[in-house]
Amino acid sequence: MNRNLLELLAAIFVTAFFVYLFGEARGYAGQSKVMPVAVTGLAVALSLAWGAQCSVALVKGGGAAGTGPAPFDLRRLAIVAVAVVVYALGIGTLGYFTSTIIMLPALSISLGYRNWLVAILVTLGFAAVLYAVFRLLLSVPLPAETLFGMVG
Amino acid sequence: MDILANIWAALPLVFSFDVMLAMVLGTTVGIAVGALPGLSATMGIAVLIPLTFAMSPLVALGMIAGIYNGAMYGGSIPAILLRIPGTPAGIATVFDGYEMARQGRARAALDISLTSSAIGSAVSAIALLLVAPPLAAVALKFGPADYFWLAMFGMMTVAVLISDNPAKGFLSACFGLVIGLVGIDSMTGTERFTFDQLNLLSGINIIVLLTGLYAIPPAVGLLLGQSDVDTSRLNFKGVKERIDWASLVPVWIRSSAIGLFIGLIPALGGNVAAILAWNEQRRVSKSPNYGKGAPDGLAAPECANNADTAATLIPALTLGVPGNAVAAVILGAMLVHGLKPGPELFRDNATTVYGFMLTMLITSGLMYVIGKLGARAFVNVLRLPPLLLGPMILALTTVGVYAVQNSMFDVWLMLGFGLIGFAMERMSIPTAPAVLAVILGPMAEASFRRALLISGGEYGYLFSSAISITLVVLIVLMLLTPVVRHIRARQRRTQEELPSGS
Repeated sequence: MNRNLLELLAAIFVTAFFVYLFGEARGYAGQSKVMPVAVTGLAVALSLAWGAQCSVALVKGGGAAGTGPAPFDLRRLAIVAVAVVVYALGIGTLGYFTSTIIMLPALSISLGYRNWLVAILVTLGFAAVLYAVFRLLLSVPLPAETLFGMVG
Repeated sequence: MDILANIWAALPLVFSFDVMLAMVLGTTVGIAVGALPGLSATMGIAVLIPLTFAMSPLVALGMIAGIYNGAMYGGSIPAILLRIPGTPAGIATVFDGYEMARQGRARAALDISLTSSAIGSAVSAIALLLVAPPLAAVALKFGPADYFWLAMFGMMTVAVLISDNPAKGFLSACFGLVIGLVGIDSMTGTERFTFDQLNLLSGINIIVLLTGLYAIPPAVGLLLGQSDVDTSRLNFKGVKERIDWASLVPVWIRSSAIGLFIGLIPALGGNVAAILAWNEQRRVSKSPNYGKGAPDGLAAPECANNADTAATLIPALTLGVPGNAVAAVILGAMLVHGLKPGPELFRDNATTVYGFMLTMLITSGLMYVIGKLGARAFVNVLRLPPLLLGPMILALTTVGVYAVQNSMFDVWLMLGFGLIGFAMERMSIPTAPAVLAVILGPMAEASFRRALLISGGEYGYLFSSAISITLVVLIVLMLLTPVVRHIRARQRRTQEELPSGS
């Protein structure tokens, strides 16, 4: 997609977001509303300015790509996004270490990493280090491990 | 004399076994993180802060000092060997460093880079030790109105200078200010931007924001293949070369001064210091092959980008105003350990703060030793597959953020900030103003209210002291910078068009 158009859409979304927050801030009482109203009001003005800049650039440059970070593969981004959401959901249900042991090799291999053995060895080693640090050393009460719990 | 007494008191703590171990670990991790393209000191510190929860403040700060110094040198390894700067501060290292490696002088180039980095770091740490305490004493004289304008100056400078488009810089700052407002207003008890979420009543933990904005986007970048490295070009071989160290002494003096000066100015970072130092050296260099593999062309940027490190902490520690993202992350780490940056820090926690400044100095020496002994190992860090490294960073940040309050809500919040950080990167919106605003926003609001309380609601009080007026003038000048920049660019374009038109 044209970068200027993408930025214009983002500017519209950001404007709507800050307009909503501005409305919320106006409902606060007394001194509590001074800063929120000032900040969200300024943000609305700035996002409108950003949108105007993008519109002008779109009219002037048409399909110009503009400068910015290198493009990326949307399919890969979708894989990463789904994996991260499933991973976070998995922590609550399967436990942190079980989810990590599944996510780490699954994500790397689904994105094109082909050395299974290294992926599995690195995963186990990494999980062991995390277990030592967060469970044994820091005693962080992580969510219960369903699978490991069944093993005992 | 106070400085010497405080240094003397902090020395035994700094040389204790756990602090030394933390510094060695931090420096090693820092060099490795810096060597990996796409990862930075900011990211390394943000990811490892949760690991420091159980440590005493000085142990944690010793590790952070090691990561910060180490990452600055680490960035030069891929810059020299692969022509890819490991961190933004390694950009100017590519010019002469890579050319030296191409000529089969990679070993000499890494030696020059390491020595110059260590010297730059040491000079910067000494400056921090000497300048910060007197500045903190001056800062004790600041009133609420002065603090309000100081916070505004810090936010505006970064928002204006860090981005080509000031609207985007300010928008980022507004986002940070809103995040800083989330929670119960401590003065009135009003809930602000909590949306009836119990988890938001006590506000958003700064670690959640920092890891989201600084650790998730690089991890996603690794998984998207944006930091792929062609390691087939990795060549660490080279004949042992005699380096004329004496000729580099003036280069180190000049570049250290540039790095220190740039470090003190908010929003400018190691990359600016490195490029300025490389340019300045080009002006005075007698080397016929400057830019094509000259040792002084490598020593200058490497010394300058390390001389910038501790200098950026001078305003952060003394005034509580971080000048860039990495200083903001370090302030965040200090807050986690119950240390409130500002002039009171030097009075109430003198041993810890002097100890921290000393660790900045000691890690510059450790960096030299570790860099020298582990040169080959750090080069091999570049062979780590990004597709394994990315998920590891995700897993580490997740458990780290969970450990802050044992809350999955924080994990989801961090992932949300990660998504926002990634989108901001794609839209060329800087994230540093947001992080600075989270720290400076509450300081500005509290100072503003205190000033009005003292003056009985009289706004004139905000302009009643010389410090306030000076800061207001600086803010106005800062806001005029983009206008001046625009006018100059237009004049340059007109001048360029004139000859071709006539």
